[in-house]
Amino acid sequence: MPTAIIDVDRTPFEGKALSDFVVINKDAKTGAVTVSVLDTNQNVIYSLNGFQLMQDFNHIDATVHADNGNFKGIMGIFEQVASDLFLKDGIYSLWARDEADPAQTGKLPSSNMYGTHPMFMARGKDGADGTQAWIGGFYNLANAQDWRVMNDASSGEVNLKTYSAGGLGDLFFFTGVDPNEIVTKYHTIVGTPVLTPQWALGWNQCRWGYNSTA
Amino acid sequence: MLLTSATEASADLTMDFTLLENSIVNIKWTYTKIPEGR
Repeated sequence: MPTAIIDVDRTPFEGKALSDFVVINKDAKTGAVTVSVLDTNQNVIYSLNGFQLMQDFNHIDATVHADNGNFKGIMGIFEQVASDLFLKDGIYSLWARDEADPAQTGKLPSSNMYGTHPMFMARGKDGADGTQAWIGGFYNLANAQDWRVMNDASSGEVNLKTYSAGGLGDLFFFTGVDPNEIVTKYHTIVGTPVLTPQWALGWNQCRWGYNSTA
Repeated sequence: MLLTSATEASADLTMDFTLLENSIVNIKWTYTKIPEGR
């Protein structure tokens, strides 16, 4: 994503140690790097298993460590009409259209959604004092993409494979005590909605529903 | 001094890890040479 469009402040925060939140393991023989992201309780919330980038292809293989005591998996990615927002096993395309009552089946070809957001959240492992621990991840990627979700309720792990038509790797991770805190931190990265100017609240003419100008 | 950012680099890839405000973690990788796909 060009920084001229979304200019993320990447100034390091000096108050805490990176090593409390990220563990990097490098295989001495192969040089392969695996990365784990931790929450404030030192629980692993996300594992970056590997990635591939070629011309017109960008693949990220990861594991989200959701709560295995009350496993629901991950939710997010797009706007859909559903009674359960957590994602079942399947492949979900991020491909938006002005779609009425959008709903996903998890099967290809995937349905158009009204809006898409390459961001997910899940409930992680609770703290020792019973405080809920929520986790969120944002892939700063604007290309067309498919997300493959594979849930394992017994381990509490969600294998997340993303396939994109391009882009680089630029991932953000958030932790909080509830979904509101995750969304609040997400907005510190992507920005907040713009306050509508007063003049825009006047008469609006929309063509929706008109079949002709007659 | 606390280490708040780190970099892992190989011949064709650089990975940057940064701890941002509000304990937000950023992982960004950049290829200095993008592998040919075909």
